[in-house]
Order: sequence, then structure tokens, then C-alpha cells
Amino acid sequence: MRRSFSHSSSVGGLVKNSMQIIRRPIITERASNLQESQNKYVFEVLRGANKVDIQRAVEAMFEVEVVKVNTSTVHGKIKRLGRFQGRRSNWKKAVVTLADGHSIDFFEG
Amino acid sequence: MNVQVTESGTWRRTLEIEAPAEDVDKRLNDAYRKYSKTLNLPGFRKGKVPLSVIKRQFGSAIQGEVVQEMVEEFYREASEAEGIQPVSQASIDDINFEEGQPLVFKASVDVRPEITVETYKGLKVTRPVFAVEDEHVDSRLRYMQEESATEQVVERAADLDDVVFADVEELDEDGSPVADHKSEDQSIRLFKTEDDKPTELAEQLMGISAGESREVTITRPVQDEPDQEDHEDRDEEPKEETVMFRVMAKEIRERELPELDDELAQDVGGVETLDELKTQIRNEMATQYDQMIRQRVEENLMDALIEENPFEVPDSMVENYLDGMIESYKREHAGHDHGIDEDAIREEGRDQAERGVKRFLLLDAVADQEDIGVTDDDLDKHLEEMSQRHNIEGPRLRQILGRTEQLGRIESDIKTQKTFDFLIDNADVEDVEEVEGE
Repeated sequence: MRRSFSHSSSVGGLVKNSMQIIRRPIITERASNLQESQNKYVFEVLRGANKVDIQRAVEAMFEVEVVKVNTSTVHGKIKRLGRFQGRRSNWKKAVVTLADGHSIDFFEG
Repeated sequence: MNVQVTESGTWRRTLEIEAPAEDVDKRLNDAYRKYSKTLNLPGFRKGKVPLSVIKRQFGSAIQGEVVQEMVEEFYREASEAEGIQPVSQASIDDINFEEGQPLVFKASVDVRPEITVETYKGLKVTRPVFAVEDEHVDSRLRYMQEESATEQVVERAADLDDVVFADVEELDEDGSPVADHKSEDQSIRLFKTEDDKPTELAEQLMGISAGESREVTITRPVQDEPDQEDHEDRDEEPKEETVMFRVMAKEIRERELPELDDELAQDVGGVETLDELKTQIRNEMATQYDQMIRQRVEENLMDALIEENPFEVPDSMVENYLDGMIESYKREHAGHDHGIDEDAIREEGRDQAERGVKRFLLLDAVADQEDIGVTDDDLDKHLEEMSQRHNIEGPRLRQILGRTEQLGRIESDIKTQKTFDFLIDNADVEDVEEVEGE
């Protein structure tokens, strides 16, 4: 299967390609439930990317048809180590709905 | 399960086994489920990982494991169902597995040869005859006499048959003592050879008297490892070396042989009279000879049986036998630090091993054909004898043997004996005079 990573979009004034926009798939119990029941795939994405960027990136990377993208910003948890308090970075989560008959296999390379 | 057996060698069978797809799938799913119960994957609660995720991520590893298990189990079931008695590890080939398809594979294994012994009655064998002659008894008596000789210190020079009590040290080529090669208080007997001549050492020590020291030279075989001395099976010429010793005589002792009389008989044999001692010796020797004769007849019979009934033995049985030989060789030589050349044993022991395997198979076949088995009476009788010989009470003996799982071996020993009895009874035995001295 030939994959095209050639799609690029301008995020925050910088041109980014698909690989940079889609950071990693989220594979959790909830995510795999969504996958199986509603054909939705969950990713961590670049914080500056918008829904259109994400749709294009996913379509280019996995050669699938995207119907809808929902995004949310996940706030970093506050973590403390002894008397030091820190904060994990916020990140952006995208739930991508694929058209019927399309699927993504995360484990295949 | 579908099994097809083909003969791929005289004693080699190839099983083509096909296990139905449903069986295979069921096992696979069981395995996935079992795995999901214990799997700890980030992002999932324990036991909540969907099968699809497991299949995708760990599928091939789990499959490999399950297939391996299934192959072993189906092979076992199949060989049992087909009545195959394997004597070797099965080699598994051509495993064909795809999900939703039947599992197909081939297993090749050596089987125990089923032989029918055609000729086992009227085998021509020779039986050596050793009779106990008076001279055998006499020489044993003389030996006993020698054994209980007493030594008396005398004030004269040493003569043949005397004992020189001395300190001995080894000398190097320059005649100076070798460190740590000194031994004190040695008794050196001045032996004579068969024709009444002194031995090499005795000749050099003749005429020595107490307080005198002499240098002697002897040739002896080179000793690399002291505990290999008694290995006579080494064909190479023994190497010899010449060594010098200094013998410092402290005493000269004369040996006095006890009279051959009733008193000696009481001392050494625990019997009243010399005549009784002679009878005792004669009986002992007769038993020994009988055992020897029996052994020889058995060997001769085996030769004849193997000769008359040629058949091929599976290689793996020979290999197993060799393994056993090496095992027991190792046990015998445990603690000795010379290395064991396993390949050499395998090489040299091959014929012996093949013979051993044939012996076992032939005897078993004859026993089967003639319906020779071990009855409880046989076993009881044997155990009775054993308990008398070892002075252990019957029930206790049984307990010991049962615990060490030796009863089975004893039974097979008895069976072998009975089979040999049968063969000998039915053989054409010719007595042959053999020269004494075996």
C-alpha cells in the first residue's frame, strides 16, 4: 500500500505535513470501543491543528475517507514530586469518524 | 481427527494428521481469552482488552504457542489411536496452519520393530565344559596358604622369597633423590618367576642385609594417570620408562607358610578339616564355573539367534542404547577427572549397542511367541532367594524394591532368564572341552 505523506497544511504560519500533525493513535479501552462500535479513531494531534488539517492529514496518511472530526484540548494533570509541583502539558485529542467501509490498522507498521 | 500412516522406512512411520478447523479455532479462542484475562496493557483495565486488540497485537505469538501444543497433543492422540509404539522423538514437519482452516502436519517417528522370530528352536550352540580339577583346588589352596603366611625377622642377607622391609626413594638421572617421591616402611617381596628365577627387582636386591642401601633400576610402564592402570583395553603398546630407586633396608624378613592342615582350614575357611575346606573350595568353584558356562551358552545362543534371524534395527534405538551406555560409563567413572570421549564410545560401542538392541527385541519376541511371562510364583521365588542372600526380610525387601522401582527390572530379568531357559531346552547343545584358564 502506497502512502502519501505529501499533504501539508499551514498551521500557525508554519507548513506542517501529516506526520507532524498526527502525533500518535490513542489505544485505550474507550478508544477501541469507539472504534468497534462507531468506526471512530482517536489520535493525539498537534495542538495548533484545526479539524480541517486533521481530516486532510488522516485522509492522506491512511488513505481513508473522513466524515467528521471532533477535537478537544486535554488539560495536563498537575503532578507533584515531593514538594515540587509541576504540570503536564495540555494536548489536543481528535476523534475522527471514518466513512462506512473504511478502517485503519494501527498495528500494521 | 484424520490420521494417515505411511511407512517411510522399515521401522519408520509417517503420520499425516489433520485436525478439524472447529477444534483448532476453539483452542485458539480459548487461548486468546485466557491471555486477555491476565494481560496488563496501558489504557485498558485488566481483563478488558478486546479480543480484536489481542489478536492484532499478540496474535501470531499466541498462535505459535497454541499450534505447538496442539501438534504435540494431536500427535500423541494419533499415535495412541493407531497403536504406534514410538522409540524415538517424533520429528514434526510441514505444519500447515491458517485460522479457520484445519491444522495439518506430518510426524515421523521410529517404531518398535514387530518381529517374528522364525528360527529359535534347535539352534546349534556349543557349551564349554569346565570341570573343577584337583589342581584348580590345589592352586587355590596354595594361594590361601600364601595369603596367611607369617613373616619373621632374620639376621641374614635377603634371599629369594624373603621380604625386604625398607624405605624407598626415587632418584633422578643424576642419582639425587626426587622430592616427594619417598616412601617409608615398604615391604618388598623378592618374587620369583614361574621358572624359579628372581624377577628384575628381586635380582638386584638379593643379598641385601639390614642397614644396607642399594640403588636399583627397574622398567615400568609409563603412568600418566594412576587410575588408568587397569584399563587393559587400550591396544597401544604400553610405553616403558626406566626408573632408579634407592632402597634402604631396615629388616630382612623370612616368610613362613603355614602347614596345609586342619588348623589352616579353621583359620581361613571357618570349617573343621582340610577336606571340608577342599570341598568348600570345590563347590564354590563349581558354582562359578556353572555361572560362566551359562553365560557362555547364553552368548552363543544369542549369536546363533541373531545369525538365524536377521533384521534391521531402527537407528534411534541404537542411539538410545548408546546413550544408556554413556550414561552408565559416566556413572562408573564419576569422580575420576579424566575426560570422557563420547564420540569414541559411540563409534566403538555401535556394534555392541546394535547387538544389545537385537538381543532385547529377539528375546522379547520369543517370549511373546511362546507365551513366556513372569508369574507371581516366579517373582516370589526370586525375592525369597534375594532376601536370603541379602539377609533382609521378605516384606521389607519388597518395600525397598518397590520404592526404588526395581521390581519391574527384576521381572524383566526373570523373563529373560526364563526365555533363555526355554531356548536352551530347545537348542541343540554340543559340549566342548575347553582348555582351563579362561
